[in-house]
Amino acid sequence: MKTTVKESSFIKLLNKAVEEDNPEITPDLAIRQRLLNRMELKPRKEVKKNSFSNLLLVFFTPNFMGYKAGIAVATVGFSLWLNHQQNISTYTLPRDTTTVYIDTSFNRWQDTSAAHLNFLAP
Amino acid sequence: MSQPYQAISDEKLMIKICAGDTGSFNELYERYSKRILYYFYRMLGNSEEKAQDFLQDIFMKIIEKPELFNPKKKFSTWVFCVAHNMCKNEYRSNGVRKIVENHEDLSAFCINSKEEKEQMIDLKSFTEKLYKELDKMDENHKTTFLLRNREGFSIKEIGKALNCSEGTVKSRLFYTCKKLASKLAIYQPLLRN
Repeated sequence: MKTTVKESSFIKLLNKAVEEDNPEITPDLAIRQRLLNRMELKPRKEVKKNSFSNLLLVFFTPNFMGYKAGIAVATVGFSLWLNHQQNISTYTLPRDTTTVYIDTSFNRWQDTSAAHLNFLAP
Repeated sequence: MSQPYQAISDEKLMIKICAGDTGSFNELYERYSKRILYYFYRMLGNSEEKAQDFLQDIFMKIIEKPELFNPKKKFSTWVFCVAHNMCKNEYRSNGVRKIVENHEDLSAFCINSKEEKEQMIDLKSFTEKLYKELDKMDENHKTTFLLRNREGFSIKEIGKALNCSEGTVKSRLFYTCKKLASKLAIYQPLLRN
C-alpha cells in the first residue's frame, strides 16, 4: 500500500487534529468518590466453601511457616512431657485409668456370663 | 521502603488492587480516567453524560473483578478491550445510531453556503467535521482509528485489544482514512498550510 504525498499529509493532519482535540470534559469528581467508597466497602476476604479441606491444606502450603513450626514443636514437647510423666510411678494417665476400668468391667461381665452359663448347663 | 505509586507499572497496580489497595486504585484512576472518558465520549456520539456513566461502570468492573485481568498482559490493551466491548453492547442495545443520524443532519446543514465553507477551514472545525464523519462509521472502524491516532497503540496492540488480526486492523485504518479523505475534501487548503 503506497501512500502519495497528498495522502500522507492528510494522515498527518488527521493525527494532529486527533492529538490536539481537547473537548471540555473532565471525569466527574463524584465518580471517584463513589468508586473509592465501593472499594472500601468491598470485603477483603471471602468465606470459602469446603473450609475443612482448606484448613487441612493450610498445613501443606508454605504460608505461616512460623506458626506451623510453633504448633509442631508444642505438640512434640507435650508428647515428651506426657511420656516423662508416664515413667513416674505415682502418676497414672487418664488413658490408663480408663483402660483399667474397661478391663475390670469386661472381666466382671465375663465372670458373670460364665456363671450363668454354668448354671444353665445340665 | 515502599515504592511511590507513580513509579509502579499499571500491571503491578492491578495486582495491588486485587489485594484491596486503595492508593493503587487512585493512581490507576488518575492515569486512565481522562483517556477512557475521552474514548467513551467520542465513541458514544459525543454524549458526556453517557461517557461519565460508562467511565464509572468500567472502573466499577475493575474494583469488583480485578482478578479478570491477566497481569502477564498489558493493562492498557485490556482496559480498552473492555471499553470497546461496552461500546459494542451499547451500540447493539441502544440508539447510538440515532444520535449519529442527528449529527448527520446538522453537518449537512452546517456547510451549506460558500461563506460558511471558507470560515470552516481551520483545525478546530476540521476536527468537528472529522468526528461527525467518524460517527457515521461502524464502531470497529471508529475504535481502531481512535486507538491508533489518539492512544498511539501499535497495530499489534490494537489487534489484541479488538481481538482481530493485524491485517484486519491495517485494512480498517486504510478504509477509515480513505473515507475521511473523501468526506473532508473541502479542507484541502489546510493541507497547504
